[in-house]
Amino acid sequence: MTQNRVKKTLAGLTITSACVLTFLIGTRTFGFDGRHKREPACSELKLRELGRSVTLGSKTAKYASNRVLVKFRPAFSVRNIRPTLQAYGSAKVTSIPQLGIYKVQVPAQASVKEFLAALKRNPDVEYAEPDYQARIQITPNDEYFWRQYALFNSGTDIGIPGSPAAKARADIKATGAWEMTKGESNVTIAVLDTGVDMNHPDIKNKIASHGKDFINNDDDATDDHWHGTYVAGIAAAETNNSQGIAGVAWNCKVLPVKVADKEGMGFYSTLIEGFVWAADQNVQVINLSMGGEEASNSLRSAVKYAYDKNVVIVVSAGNEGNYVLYPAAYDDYCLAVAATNYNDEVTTWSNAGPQVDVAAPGDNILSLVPTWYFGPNSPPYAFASGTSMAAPHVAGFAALIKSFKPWLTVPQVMNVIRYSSDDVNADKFPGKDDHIGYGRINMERALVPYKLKSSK
Amino acid sequence: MKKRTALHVFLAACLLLAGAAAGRAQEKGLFQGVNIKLGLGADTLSRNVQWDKGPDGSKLKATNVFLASEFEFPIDLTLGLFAGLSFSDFKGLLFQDLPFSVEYQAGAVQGILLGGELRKGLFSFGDFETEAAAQFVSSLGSTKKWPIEGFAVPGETSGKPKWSQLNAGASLVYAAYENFRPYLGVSLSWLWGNFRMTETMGDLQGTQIREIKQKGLVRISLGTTFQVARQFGLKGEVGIVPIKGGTDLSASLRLLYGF
Repeated sequence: MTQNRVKKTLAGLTITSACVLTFLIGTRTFGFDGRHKREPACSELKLRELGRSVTLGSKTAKYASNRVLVKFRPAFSVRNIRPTLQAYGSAKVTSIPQLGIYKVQVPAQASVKEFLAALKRNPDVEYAEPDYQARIQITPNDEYFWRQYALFNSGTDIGIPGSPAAKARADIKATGAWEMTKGESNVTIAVLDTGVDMNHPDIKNKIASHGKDFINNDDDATDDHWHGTYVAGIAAAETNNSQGIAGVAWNCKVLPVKVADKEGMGFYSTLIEGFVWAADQNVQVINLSMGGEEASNSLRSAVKYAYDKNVVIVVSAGNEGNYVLYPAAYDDYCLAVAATNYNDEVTTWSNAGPQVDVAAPGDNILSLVPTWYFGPNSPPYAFASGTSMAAPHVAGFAALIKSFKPWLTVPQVMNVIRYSSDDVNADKFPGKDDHIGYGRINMERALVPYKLKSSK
Repeated sequence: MKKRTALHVFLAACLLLAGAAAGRAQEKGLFQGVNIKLGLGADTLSRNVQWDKGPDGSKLKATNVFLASEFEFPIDLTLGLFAGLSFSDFKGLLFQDLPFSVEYQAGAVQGILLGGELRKGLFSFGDFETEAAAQFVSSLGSTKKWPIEGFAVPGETSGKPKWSQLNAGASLVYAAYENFRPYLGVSLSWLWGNFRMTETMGDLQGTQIREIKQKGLVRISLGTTFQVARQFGLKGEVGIVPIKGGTDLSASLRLLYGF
């Protein structure tokens, strides 16, 4: 019996030694494969408020560059495992005894691939595999991110008292898109609105300049309403700063342009001035969450001026449950945005018409309000509804596309946004329709490479 | 499909005609002193490819089948020519400049393979002989189309890869046996080419051409020729190109009939 065991051990060690020798000879001294360097780990989010976390697999397989997982065949003596692995040059071996799996350090001068190839040649090894990285999808650490169903809809309630449960993944697929880009700081979204609270802690670092105030004719577009701050926050609030909310375009800048007064009213003349001024500042995207019932040649000219200056113009369709307002109705130059809710249904109040290009969540959206709005003891955040809230999701999306592919022309960006949409009302209105246009935007489909598979 | 069948018929016809012509030429003494061989060959290669624009790489996995010919001249010079089909797969290649980025995962694209090789004996010492050798192959891929699905409007991509490889170096032949000549070769290997991809979806259209940016790499080969019978010869070779983080591999086999 003992003799048999000794024989078996000797045979095992002989085979192992041969494999080790082969490995050592075969190991080249080129160092580690740079393409497999470990990505910085995402910190686990503490989601006490919602009491749950979501772990999703990464898109591309990434693994630890200095460690592999190995399991030996049951017949191989446990006593021989560590000496065997050390013979390969592994300085550190730890085990998960319940599963008989070993975490083995990759020897110096060898890559993971080479080490695994050597281990797999050993007949005593049942399997050897990389220590793959599992991580949550790129998810910001902003305190209220889990209330932003528009960006990532977990399928729970949306965070307001009495709110119904939402439909999981009825969202714009922001987390997947952020794996490709979080935006560039040289891409700016001009927010033509009531101004922006430039002291708000969740956006003050994202402001490109104090902007322009066409109501008071000065160079300080501070918000004296709330709407502009709110819209700007959806598009580009400071993200991953451990507070408040996440913006769609993490790293893009906001240029406040005040074209509406403290009552939220503005004339076409101020809108026109706002469009022209913003276009002259070389912004890449303009968001206008406003509109009027009447067509205007002057307004059309202003929109065309910005379009011709290579600016993507995003405008809300309006909230009357009626026809699309102007300038959203200037279909050649604007993306007209309708509003969906947390179940991917079009809202009853969202305007409709053939000019609607796409939809985005606009029902009960959480964003910023000016710091003075609720007073000093309340966090400056609130829920609100409207196509005004839908449009800045699309504006942020356009800014991400311009960041990732700056060579795309405005019509191309508009079509990328349109064609990548999810036709969420296809059961009633398949294809492009007057309610949500091409569909609810899907940032992931637009930005993550399409895997070209063999045609059948 | 018709095009592909026509190509196969054309290649088969070429083989028959070339065989017949070579036989006749040999009979009539047109190639006095030149030893002519004809046959079939197959290659497979797996290479790590570096591309323009950024560090992303991909694999090139190719399988080639071809008609091979060899002309052995009395001055210890051998000229080989071959033509056939190649099946090239650039798995993992990214086209990020298209309106919608595309990652190639669509398998092999068929194309025409053309190539040639030249071997010249240099000097002998003892049982060893030395040779200088160069081989060139070029794969001209056909245009292939793939649908893009899951978007709001139908889309399509069409792609056309082409690549060429040149190996040039020297080999040491062990010539002690009459019918069996193993050799060890060291050469430099260059790979170049491009993959053109066009995307069309609604009013959107974009084209990106990705160019292979590969410097010359050292290739080590081990092979043998084996005279199975008086007129039949076999030739096999395996090659490796050691690179950082992996190894490029290739293997080839040829069956040749001497007239």
